[in-house]
Amino acid sequence: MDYNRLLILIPVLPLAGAVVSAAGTQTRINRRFLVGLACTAVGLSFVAAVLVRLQYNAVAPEGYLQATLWSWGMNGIGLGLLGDGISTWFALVVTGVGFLIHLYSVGYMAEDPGFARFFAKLNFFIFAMSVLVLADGFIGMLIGWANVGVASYLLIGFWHQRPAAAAAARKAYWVNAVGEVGLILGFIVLLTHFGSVSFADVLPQAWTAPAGVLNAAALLMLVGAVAKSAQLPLHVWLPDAMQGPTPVSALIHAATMVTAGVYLVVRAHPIFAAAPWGPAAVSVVGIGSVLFGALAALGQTDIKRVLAFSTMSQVGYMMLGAGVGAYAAALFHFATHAFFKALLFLGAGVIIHRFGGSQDIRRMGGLGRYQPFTYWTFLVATLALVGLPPLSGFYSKDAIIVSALMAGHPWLWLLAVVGAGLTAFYMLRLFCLVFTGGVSPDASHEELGHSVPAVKVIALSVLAVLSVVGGFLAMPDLSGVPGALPGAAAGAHGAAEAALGSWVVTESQASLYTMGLLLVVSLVGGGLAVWMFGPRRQPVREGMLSRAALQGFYVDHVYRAVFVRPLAAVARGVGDIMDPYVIDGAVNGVAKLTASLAAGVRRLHPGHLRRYALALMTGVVLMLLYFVLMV
Amino acid sequence: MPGTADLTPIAPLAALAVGALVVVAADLLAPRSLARPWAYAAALAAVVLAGWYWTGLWQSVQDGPLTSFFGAFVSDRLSAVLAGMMLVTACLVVLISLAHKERDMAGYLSLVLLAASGMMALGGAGDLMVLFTALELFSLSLYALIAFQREREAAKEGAFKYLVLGSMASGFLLYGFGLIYGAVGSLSLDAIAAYAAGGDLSPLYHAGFALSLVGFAFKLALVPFHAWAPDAYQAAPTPVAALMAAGTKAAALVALARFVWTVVPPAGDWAAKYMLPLAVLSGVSMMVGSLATLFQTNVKRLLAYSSITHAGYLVMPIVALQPEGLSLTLYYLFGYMLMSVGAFGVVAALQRRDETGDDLNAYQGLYARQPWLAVLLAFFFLALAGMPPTVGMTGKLLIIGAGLRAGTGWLVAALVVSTVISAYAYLRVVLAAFRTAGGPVAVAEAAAGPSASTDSTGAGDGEPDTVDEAKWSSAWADIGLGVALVVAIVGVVGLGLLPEAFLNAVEGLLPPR
Repeated sequence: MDYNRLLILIPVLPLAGAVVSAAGTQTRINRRFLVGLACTAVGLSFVAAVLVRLQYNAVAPEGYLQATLWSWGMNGIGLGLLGDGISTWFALVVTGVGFLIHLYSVGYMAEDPGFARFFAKLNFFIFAMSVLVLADGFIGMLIGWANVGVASYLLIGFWHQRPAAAAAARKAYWVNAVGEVGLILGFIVLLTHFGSVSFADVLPQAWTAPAGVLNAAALLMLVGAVAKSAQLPLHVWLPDAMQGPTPVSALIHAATMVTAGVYLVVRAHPIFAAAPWGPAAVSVVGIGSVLFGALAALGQTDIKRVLAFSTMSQVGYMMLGAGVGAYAAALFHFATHAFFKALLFLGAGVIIHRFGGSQDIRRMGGLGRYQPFTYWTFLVATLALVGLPPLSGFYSKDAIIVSALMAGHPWLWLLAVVGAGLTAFYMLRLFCLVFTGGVSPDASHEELGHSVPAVKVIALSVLAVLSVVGGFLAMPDLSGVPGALPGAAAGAHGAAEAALGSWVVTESQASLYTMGLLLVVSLVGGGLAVWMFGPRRQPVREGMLSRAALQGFYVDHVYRAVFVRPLAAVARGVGDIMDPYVIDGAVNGVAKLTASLAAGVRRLHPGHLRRYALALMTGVVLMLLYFVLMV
Repeated sequence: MPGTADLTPIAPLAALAVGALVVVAADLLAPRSLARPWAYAAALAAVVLAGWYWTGLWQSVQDGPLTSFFGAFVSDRLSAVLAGMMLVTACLVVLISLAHKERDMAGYLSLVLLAASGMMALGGAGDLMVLFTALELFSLSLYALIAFQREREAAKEGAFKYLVLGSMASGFLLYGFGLIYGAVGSLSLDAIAAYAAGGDLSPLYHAGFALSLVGFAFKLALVPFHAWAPDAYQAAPTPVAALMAAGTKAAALVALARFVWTVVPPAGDWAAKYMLPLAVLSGVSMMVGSLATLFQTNVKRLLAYSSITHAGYLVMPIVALQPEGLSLTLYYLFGYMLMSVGAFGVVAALQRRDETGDDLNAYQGLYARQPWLAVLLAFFFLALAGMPPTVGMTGKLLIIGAGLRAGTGWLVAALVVSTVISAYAYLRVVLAAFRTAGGPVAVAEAAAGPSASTDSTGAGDGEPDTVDEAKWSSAWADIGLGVALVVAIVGVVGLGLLPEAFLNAVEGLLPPR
């Protein structure tokens, strides 16, 4: 419970950067200066996050850091920051990966007319995201939550001249609005029951609430988490969000913002774990998204959409971890995923530039010969995502899957392993189609051979190193978190042995089975992909299944038929009939009433002294009468 | 015999009163060309000196109240809080006055200082006679200040109306005090409190309270004792209008709080019965004030009705007679003082540039001509309307919360409705400033009343520039206005963000009843 001013710097520095560079775009200040300022702000924010983490380590695991921004003079309603095992972990990844992506963007966006505007928005996102993860209560978290939504909207629609980008931005906003309604309702349930929205007040006593309250709060908050984290069935905005610039996809729609739902579930795990339906609901959402995302990624032809569905699938693993109680493992996978998925997107940015802006992987091929640096970094990221030991993805994914088994869910475990096989298949398909085989006839050799700018090389190299060694980071320690459950502190593996039907597995057995099976399945999936799409690829016939996968299994079509069209019709009805006659009538009626009242009041003040004196005397007489007669 | 110990509690207000004399003396002694700078310097020095005394006083009253002159003047934390807020206001008003052209600047400034010292004295009055004297000290100064621009018919008219009605109100107040004296046999507040606690109340006492309440309600501009305010605000030089809006309100509120805390009998349901009329006045003021704001075409009249509305908001938390309510009132009061001084300051700045005066129609397209002043105008009016994160929002929110806890739901409802109505009026000013020139103002009818139509376009008109003061005054006027407005903005936002800092300082000023 140590007071810490540094915490405040983490969100404030990017906010200052955003304000200055946004204001600067209206002036004649040098653009490169503004961009440098924006990068510096995020870099310093990362330094602050590192210092905070060190200071937290000094007080961990019993204590945590706190900073009060202000309070409204009302109980439990205020804004403060909290630095504990969860939030410092998130803040480190958000500002660190954010800084690298800022660097990369200096190279990526250099030619864009909205160069400085882009960095202002990117800085604003870092501010909003760090408020989300550092807030010490649900209100502060909601403020961050809504603001990352705004930042995401602004950045998806960054190229607002493109109709597709504007439409995608709108779609993301609406889907997230649905989630926010759920989230707010969930917070209201908590507020009415506990009388406070501060984590330190609510979470430690979460288990005292009746089951109905816990179920309602958990499920409503899960709606928000599902929307923000692009989980089944509210994932539809994520593939479209790839219309934004690629660094945005890397930062917001892969590494950080889409994991906000995981953050919510882990942060509020005392509620989710105590709610009778909580763990099951989170696990089902997680495993469903793992499989759905992996299957849909199989059939995609756009490089960024492959990665988008892959993100959905990987965030599904984190959700699964949070559902089976492996909160630390979920956070671990969040960090490693941030490294290698950001690297994949940044690599995809290079690839797209080399192929003249085309994103269709069927028209790519043979890039490996021209771009050895991109080839190797992309390969590292791919293998880390597939989960090849000793790369980082192996440890984190393994930890989640083992936990599923240890928690006594053999079916979840099996499906998660199948998902890992699918992952290996679609990632190596992508890799082979882009880097191996013959050079596509559309591409120009000159463009393919362009060297990668130094800032991009730095960002890619650092992320590649992190993707390799990230697995050796210590598992985050959650024991000092407000309301932490005893199991959460232990991290991935429950201490107990799980009974599966007639036989009992110990933890070492579970690890052994999982590791072996994962390796086999990944090698089979990956090998199949290399055989089918590798250098000696065969032309693949497009079947019904791949068409369905390409369309994301028609979820969008169903939504359009079931929700969008009827709602639009209702909205049009409201706009044409309800609004002008009923609502406007009522509003105008009130306005007219007010106006006539005001006219009457004005007639009382004509400016004549005698009448003023009369009013005064009337008041005196009434006052005297009251006190002499009534009292 | 009064000794030096008696002087410590009154040092800040004595500094202002002596400063008022020094300002006049400086005008007589100084060479003609330096008269104005010296007058300003002496006035500011007096305020600073008073502030220095005040910091010492504030330290010593933390340990317990000080009394002087045989209990006639009480210096406790409540009167020290009022004195502090008044010093800030006086300082801002003097700074804004740098932009004000006046032939007899020394007379003007010395009256401002005298009014401020009277307002401060009102908060520490220990008996009814001192209370009345302090009230008259600042009222008389204000009558003179309103009529200061003798060339303007409107100034004379406004001052005369205020004088006649104010004399009536003072008469009732004095009569009320007389009746209370008749019942109690003493003018001292301590003796009155002892009598009220005794229980056996004479009818004279009830009637005395009724008439005294009229006097306070008049100074607070509570409906129906409010009619003087719009004419007086419009007629007064703009910095004086700011002093009236902020200072009169503050002094009268603090005096009223101390008065009702003392006089209302503690036993039985007397408190509810005694405070009901005040609650009604508060609710009616909110509604009438905000409705009347809607159709004003003159910014100073609009701010006058806004001050009537705010009088309602500010009295509301006191009605419950709880120390927490008083803290909230003082919190929002200080916020309102800064907001209204800021708003009047912007109007003064506009008048100085002969830009627009106070006629709302002339505010069309202000943003194109004076972007900074337009933004400042928008800030203060939006703050009055309740824009977060300013004190306009936090204060209303806290008062609503307190009203709900006290069970006065109908007053909360009146507050919310009146906030919505007056937000429309404030937004009209902002919209006018930001709309491009030429569009029609959304004002239903042209004239707000006969006196509005007889008024000239602003206080800046018709004043001959006798001294060649244009050069130095323009630089100093800009500095003064700039400093005053920055202080007001910092205060308005700071209070809004950090309510607890102020609320802790004003916690438990009067004992719980």
